[in-house]
Amino acid sequence: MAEVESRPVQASSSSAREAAHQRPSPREVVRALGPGLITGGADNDPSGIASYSIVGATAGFAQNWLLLLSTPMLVAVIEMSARVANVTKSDLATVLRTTFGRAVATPAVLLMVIPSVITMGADLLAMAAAFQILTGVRYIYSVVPMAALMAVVTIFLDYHMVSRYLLWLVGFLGMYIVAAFLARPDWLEVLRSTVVPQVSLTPAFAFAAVAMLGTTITPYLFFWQASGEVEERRGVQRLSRTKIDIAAGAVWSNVTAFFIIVATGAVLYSHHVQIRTASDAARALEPFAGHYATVIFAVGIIGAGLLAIPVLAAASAYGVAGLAGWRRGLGRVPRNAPQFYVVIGLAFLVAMEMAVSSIDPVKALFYSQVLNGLISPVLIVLILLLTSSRKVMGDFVNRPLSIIFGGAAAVVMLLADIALVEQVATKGLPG
Amino acid sequence: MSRKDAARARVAAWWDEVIAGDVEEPHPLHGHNVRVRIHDGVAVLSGQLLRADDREELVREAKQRIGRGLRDVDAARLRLEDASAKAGVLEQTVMAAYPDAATARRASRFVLQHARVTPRRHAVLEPGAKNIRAFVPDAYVDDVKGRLDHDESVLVIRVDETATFDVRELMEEETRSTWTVAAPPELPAPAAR
Repeated sequence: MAEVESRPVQASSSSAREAAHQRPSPREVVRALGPGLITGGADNDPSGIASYSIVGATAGFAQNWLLLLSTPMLVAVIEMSARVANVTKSDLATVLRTTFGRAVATPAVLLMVIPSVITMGADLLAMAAAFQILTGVRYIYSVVPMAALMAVVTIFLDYHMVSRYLLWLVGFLGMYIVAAFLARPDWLEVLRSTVVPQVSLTPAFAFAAVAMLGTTITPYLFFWQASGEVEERRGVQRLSRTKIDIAAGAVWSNVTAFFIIVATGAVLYSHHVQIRTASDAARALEPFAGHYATVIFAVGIIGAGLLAIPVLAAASAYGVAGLAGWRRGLGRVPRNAPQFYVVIGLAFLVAMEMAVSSIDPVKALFYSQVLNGLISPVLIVLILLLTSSRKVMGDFVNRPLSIIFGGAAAVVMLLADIALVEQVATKGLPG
Repeated sequence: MSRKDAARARVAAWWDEVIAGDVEEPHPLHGHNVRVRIHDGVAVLSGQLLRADDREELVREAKQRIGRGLRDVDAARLRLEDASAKAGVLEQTVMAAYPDAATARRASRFVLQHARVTPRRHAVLEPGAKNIRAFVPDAYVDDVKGRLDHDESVLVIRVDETATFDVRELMEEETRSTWTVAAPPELPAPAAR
């Protein structure tokens, strides 16, 4: 045995967390914004926008309270994903593999990757439809150039450059706040529905609730956040800043979701307008809020897609590469992490194929959400187990609030799954 | 020749040496804060710099040499120094298993050379090793024993928490270990303070 020094290792001290704790200055808080804000922005992808629009059109403001409720859950789950990465210094797929073995990690990763790639296809289609609204160019002609552009940016640009570009795109989602104000909703009603829970025992309400939660708390976000922490090399001494970053992202995500629901609820719900895609939602706003609302909505969808699709592709690649133990990271050049970038390229190819084929985008969106909804509670439970393990986390194990909100997220998602299964069993598939 | 031109010439000469295979010479401006490794024609830059401009300049210098000795540049591990994460606050133990002791020793040399860290302690534990607990945190003793029982050797490196990302990544992704894990951060052992 070769060795250097032979002092015994001390047991983990209960003050390691205190030693690592730092109170960030206001300047450091601003500088802390990064992966968490991108995660929050990517949460509202075009498919998410479509879901929120459908929620607004079918249930009005009645489910705004669910957004308020899901915000701390989203923060808790993403914070746990970030914390496990900063403690173990590795991404989520790797920690799942080394802790629970491949038998658990493989299905968990695959069930994240499959709906993520399907969502990429649905997002590409929504972006192309929005591009058609803006330019008149048939959507089918813009799918391939858009996918190629995003693939090149994701594969060939340095992570630091890509993350800067992604951070700017987060701002695009602010367009929906403008759209909501243009729609002139009844703000007192909006406020009441946000703070007073309303439950309606109707299929439309149940389906809208499932769609909203499934869109808000999605598995790829957990993988992306954990990998972002590793890319940024944050570590446990910057956990306070990480929390601020994550909270800012989650709040921004749900605030923009809130305004999408407000806009579509104010305009579409009262006129019983049916929407099938995000571009339909954009068109539906035109007669009521004028030409600019449609333009704003369409530009917002393209911006959201430009942000979310690279994140979806990268999250899938991080998952697969972490599972296989390959070199990985957007900071690496393709030659140094070929398998990682091949997975990204394949994800783009499959998504592009889906978008240009005759697959019904609404059905694709629906099934991707069903898969997301099914895997989310399982993954949340696995993350809860990881972050509650002293062996894995040492002094950085979950505190009660993380367990309460993380556990609530798993329970609520599970109830949403049960409601969805019940709806499908009794009423059949939608559309 | 102005001072600026002289510095530029020294940097150019340094790059020529690096491309020729002499990667041990310190950078004329940044010294040992940065390091270059040539891997299959790709210049892998690592280390820490104080200013973003310095980082961009170094990456630009490297990229100018693509097609003239280099095939590509990987700057993923070239980072900006962050004063908010202080060294000496916490330590972490990273463990990785290898098929045999010789591979584990090679991995040890590689990791220590490229992570640019001074380990608090490190060891290669071979099958039959008695003093596992001297190097491995209690929670991971059974895992390490299991690896040794399967005739694998385990490299154990205890480093500062701020260096653990790089050490763990090198051990898992660059040395083809069969199992890699980082134990949670701990306060430094008293003697190391």
